Amino acid sequence: MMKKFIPSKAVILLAAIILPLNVIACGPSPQKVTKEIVIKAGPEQVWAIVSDFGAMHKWHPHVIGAVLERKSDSDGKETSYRTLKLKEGGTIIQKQRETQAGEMKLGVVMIQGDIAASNYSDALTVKTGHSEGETIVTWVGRFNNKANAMQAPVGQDNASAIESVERWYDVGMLNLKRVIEASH
Amino acid sequence: MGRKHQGLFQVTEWNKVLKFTVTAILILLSSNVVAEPFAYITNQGADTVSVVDLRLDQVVATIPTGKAPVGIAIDHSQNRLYVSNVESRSVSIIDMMTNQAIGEVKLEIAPVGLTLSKTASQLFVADWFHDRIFVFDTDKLLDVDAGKTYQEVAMGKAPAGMVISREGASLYVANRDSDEVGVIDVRNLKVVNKIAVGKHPFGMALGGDGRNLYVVNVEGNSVSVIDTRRDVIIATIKVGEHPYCVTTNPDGSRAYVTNTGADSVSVIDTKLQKVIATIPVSGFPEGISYNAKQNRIYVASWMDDAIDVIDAKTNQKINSVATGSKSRAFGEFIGNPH
Repeated sequence: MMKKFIPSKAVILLAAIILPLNVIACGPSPQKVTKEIVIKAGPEQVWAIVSDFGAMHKWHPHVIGAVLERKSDSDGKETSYRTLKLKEGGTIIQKQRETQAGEMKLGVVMIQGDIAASNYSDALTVKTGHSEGETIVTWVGRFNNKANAMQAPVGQDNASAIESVERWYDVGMLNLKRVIEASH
Repeated sequence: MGRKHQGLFQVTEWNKVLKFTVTAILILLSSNVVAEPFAYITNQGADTVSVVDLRLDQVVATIPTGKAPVGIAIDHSQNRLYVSNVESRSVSIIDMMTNQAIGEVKLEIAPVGLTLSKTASQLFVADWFHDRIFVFDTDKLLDVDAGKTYQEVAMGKAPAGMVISREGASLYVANRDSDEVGVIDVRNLKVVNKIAVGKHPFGMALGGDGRNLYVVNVEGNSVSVIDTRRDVIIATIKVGEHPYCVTTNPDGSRAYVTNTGADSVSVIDTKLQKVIATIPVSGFPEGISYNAKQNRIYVASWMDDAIDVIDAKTNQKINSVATGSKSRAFGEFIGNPH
């Protein structure tokens, strides 16, 4: 009789260590959330705050701490990574995306994170507003649901992922506006 | 009387010449007007295809599709578009002359990549989740239950992009999760080769002369070049972050690669086998095609719901046209309805 394979604690532990590093490939139907807010301040002032890669906790209420790291990526390119400590527990590790010089756009790719989505990446863009002294901040995210599956169980499905990303953006941008506008 | 007769004769001849000339001009005009290129952009979040007139760089029609359209294949013999709808598990068939959907084939799978045989008699649809390629007879695709009549070929893991060889004898399939390109003999539908490439191959394109196949390795940040006469890798070229799709110019001297992680397009000199320019484009660029008529490159932007226009002479972005939500355009998306 064939022996049934029962994973030992060591194997489970090993899998738990290896799996998050092995980035899950994107599913075929990525989700998108776009949020925009107008802030009464100049674009440079807004950009100075959001582009400070290791200081997200200074404006996002759900982030209680951030650790910035500079290290080589898989291509040997020097890249910024940040580990965000979350108010509700857990962490998010993000890598900064390449951007064009002079562009006020901050892009990140999630390496791993305790959020209700997978394959997460985003771009936060700062633009001059329609009136003098106003700035438009746009935050766009691309991600799959937590299960990274077409038929995902409730809680790991598209609706849950979208709701959680929307909340992340809403809470963050409202407080960003509050922090900046209170500083004049 | 004689003179009048002669006059009449002349008028008749003149009429013939005039008629011939007018007809010739009309034919010339109509072929010029109708054979102009259009881009067909699948908008995954809007459940539509945007039809962009490339003379004007304007959206001239928006065609409803199934849910979450991604892949596109163009059949010039029947003036048809085939669009894969991931979430409604179907393929939309669109008439390019009327810009109207004429059918939607329900499938048993969620399709992404699709392409046609050389004569467009067969449609190949990749089944990403069950590691196989479905082969449909395009003549029967408007029949009832057309989605249940197919041949299938077992493939590597998560087949994505597909390209038919220049002569039409071989189908190349990027098996994303097994890091290889599978080669299928189209006549007997047997897998005849598997070529190891970089990490997570996705989009592919043939070089202008049909000899070289360019394979984008999403997680390898590179492009593998396969010599299709021998089915071997002859070069691996580093490109930008998280590349997705590739296209080439008509003489095959350049290949253009979208880098989704860097919002840019890498321009490869295929002789030098290296990147000679990197062009900033809109957010998360995916599908890319070359417009040979005006020597322009068109790039679909998923983040910005647009299609960017690049001048191939200057390697500069010269325009951006608003399309629909989550533009993807996965496949050769420029067509010439005629």
